[in-house]
Amino acid sequence: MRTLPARLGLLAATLAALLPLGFAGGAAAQSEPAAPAVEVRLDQDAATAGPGERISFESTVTNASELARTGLVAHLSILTTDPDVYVDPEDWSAQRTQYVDELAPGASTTLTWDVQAVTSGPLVLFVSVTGEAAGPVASSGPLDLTVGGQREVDSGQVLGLVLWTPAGVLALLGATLVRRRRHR
Amino acid sequence: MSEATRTRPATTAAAESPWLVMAEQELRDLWLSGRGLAVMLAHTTLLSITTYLIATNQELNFLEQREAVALTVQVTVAVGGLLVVLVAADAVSGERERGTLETLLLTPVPRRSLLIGKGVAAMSLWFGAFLLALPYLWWIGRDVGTFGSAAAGTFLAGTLLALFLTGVGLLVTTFSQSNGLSLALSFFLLLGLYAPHQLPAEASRGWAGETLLKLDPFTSALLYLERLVINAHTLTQDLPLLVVPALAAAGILTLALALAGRLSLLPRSG
Amino acid sequence: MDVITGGTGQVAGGTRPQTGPALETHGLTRSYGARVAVDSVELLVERGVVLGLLGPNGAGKTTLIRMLSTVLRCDAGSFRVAGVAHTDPVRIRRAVGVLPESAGYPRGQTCEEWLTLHARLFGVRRRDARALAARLLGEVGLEDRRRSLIAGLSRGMRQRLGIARALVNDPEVVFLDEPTLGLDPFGQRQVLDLVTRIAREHGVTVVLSTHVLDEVEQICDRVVILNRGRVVADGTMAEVVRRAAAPREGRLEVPADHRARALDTLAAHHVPAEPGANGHLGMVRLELPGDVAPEDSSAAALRCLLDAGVPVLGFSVEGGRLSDAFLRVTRGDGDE
Ligand SMILES: Nc1ncnc2c1ncn2[C@@H]1O[C@H](COP(=O)(O)OP(=O)(O)O)[C@@H](O)[C@H]1O
Ligand SMILES: [Mg+2]
Repeated sequence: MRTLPARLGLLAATLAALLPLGFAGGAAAQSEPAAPAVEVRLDQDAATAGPGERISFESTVTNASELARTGLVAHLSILTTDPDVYVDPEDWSAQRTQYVDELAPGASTTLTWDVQAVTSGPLVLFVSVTGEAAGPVASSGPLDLTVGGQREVDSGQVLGLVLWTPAGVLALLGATLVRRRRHR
Repeated sequence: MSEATRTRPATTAAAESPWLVMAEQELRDLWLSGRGLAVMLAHTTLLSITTYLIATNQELNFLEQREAVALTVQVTVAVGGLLVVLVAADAVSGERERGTLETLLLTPVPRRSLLIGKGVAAMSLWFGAFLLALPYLWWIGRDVGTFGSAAAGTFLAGTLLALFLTGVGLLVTTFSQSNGLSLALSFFLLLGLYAPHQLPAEASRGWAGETLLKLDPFTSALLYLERLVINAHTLTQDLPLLVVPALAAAGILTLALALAGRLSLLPRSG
Repeated sequence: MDVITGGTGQVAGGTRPQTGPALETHGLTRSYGARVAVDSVELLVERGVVLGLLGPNGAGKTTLIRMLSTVLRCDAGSFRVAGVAHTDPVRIRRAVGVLPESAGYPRGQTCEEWLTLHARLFGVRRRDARALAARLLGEVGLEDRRRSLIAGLSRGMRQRLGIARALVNDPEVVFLDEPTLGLDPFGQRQVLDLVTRIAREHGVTVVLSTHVLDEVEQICDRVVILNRGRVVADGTMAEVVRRAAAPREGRLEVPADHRARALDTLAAHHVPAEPGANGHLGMVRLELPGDVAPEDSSAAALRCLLDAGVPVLGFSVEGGRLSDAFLRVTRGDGDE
């Protein structure tokens, strides 16, 4: 995954370069915003999971322009709105960037994202897509993911395991020793 | 010339395999005496403590579940290996010291069969340790779906290591001057083989370091388990890593059984 | 010695012919490092004999038995046990039963379990082995201890259990290495009775190693005395005693005023004599040669006294026992 940061860096640089353009464009097109060339849509907008659980969702990337698009990059972002929660996206998903080689005008493709809920907290996930050139960045709507609190220590259950297993062995041991005693 | 004839109990024809007879008795001695169960109690207590800490302690809980499963697997392999090597290392030198070796050598049973029977008993401790680890593996790994592969992989890699350690113990015990020496030597061999795996990652950098580590059956087997459990590899993905443990086990067992004929009442001379 | 023939063709599950002597060794030698423990031992022992293997501590008895029972290799020489050559150790093991010296016992096994195990290791099937174990325990008087752990048995019981174990393969030759070591007199008595009974009832050859001479006098037909690894005496009890030529002591009692004349008369007839001890004025001690039967030598001494008119009030002969011969041939050697 050595290339991933490099790619992210490239992406960030691209975004930075686009910023003034965006402002300029925004000012210029105040009356009529340019139709985005690419659209991204998620198949769900809210989900819940327990810590350690895996969830999976899909994004549909559609080429809304008249031209065939090549070299599209889709990226999954994971952030939290709670400043006390630390999120390291790398822990959450091993594959957060996917590539779309070619998309004909009007065509769409579906990308699947796998995420493992590592920490609890309110999270926002979204997928953004851009092309190779300094084109606009299209973002999906947010997926609000609520990861439940730390697993309630089901103390009954864990105690059942950690007590009953040795207890079972102890009982067997006792039975053996009693049996042996009879031979004295 | 005396030509007396006498009757004797039906022997020889379709007799039981001596190694089986030996193994049966050794297993009875180990498990019905309570010794085997006592160490299993210690094993489950250790697993219970780690599992309880994993489940209740926030810090440990942050340990990813897969890492918690891997920890349990490592504890099981280490405990099982320790028990196997200690019992195997007692096999001959222990009997010699307790004065019970001579009566065994007086039977027409090949020395090799004696060793095999004792090796089977030693291996049973590994199987016991493995079986008792299963509920823990299931409980810790139930959310991440690792139970099946973790259990199967632990069985595979752990059994290879246990076979290897059985060979080590039998070889050492056959030629040791005393039982204490045999136990100590086997124990330190185990530590020596286990240590490289615990080295910081930097030490394993470089071609030489990596090759050396991979020649240690422990390091390879534990690496296999790590990739299986933590990196969610499939059972077959890293099979090449098990080649070294398998070859080591086969080699040392062959050597121990080949040298079984040299087993004698006195450790050095015949 | 036409008894030396080939091996015994053992017929599985049925009868076996017994050919050849029970034991035969030629130049049997074994050293530990520079120490020669058994030195060129030559033995020929017929079947059905109870042989006493005597010798001080460190004489090589245990080493000899271990070689003959194939648990130790010999450095030189050859031997046959029950007609089987030493080059076929497995068949020798099938033909011998051994109670090793200070044998250990698996403390965690029951008597029955241990005997059954050993019977099975000799190829007896499980059910037969259990029946055999029960029978043998009965034979050694441990029937009510069948299910007791060996750890709970007394020393004497353990020795008897060890003897039962030596019989699981219905051996032709039984070696017992110091079976009474460390037993109280009652335990010794029990073990010796057992050995005698086994020799009689099983018709086996018994080699009994010991340094307790009483035992040998009680139950052995023949003795071999080892000293520093060598055979220094071999024969029946009487032969060994005679060959050892241990002098006997005669004790003569005469009236006190006749003692001087008695001493003079004995001196004139070349019988070594001296005044007896204990301040008893009529006692005379005389030394009788060991290589002449005691009845002959004492008769000669008495005759000369009577001829000289010395009244004899009492006469007894001491010595001529195995212990005298033993001390003479071993000259008090030994490790301790
Ligand atoms: N394992 C051994 N290593 C070295 N020397 C031994 C060993 N066993 C016996 N010896 C020596 O060999 C000699 C014969 O010993 P052993 O056969 O035990 O005699 P015994 O049974 O008549 O007392 C002794 O001098 C003894 O010290
Ligand atoms: Mg001895």
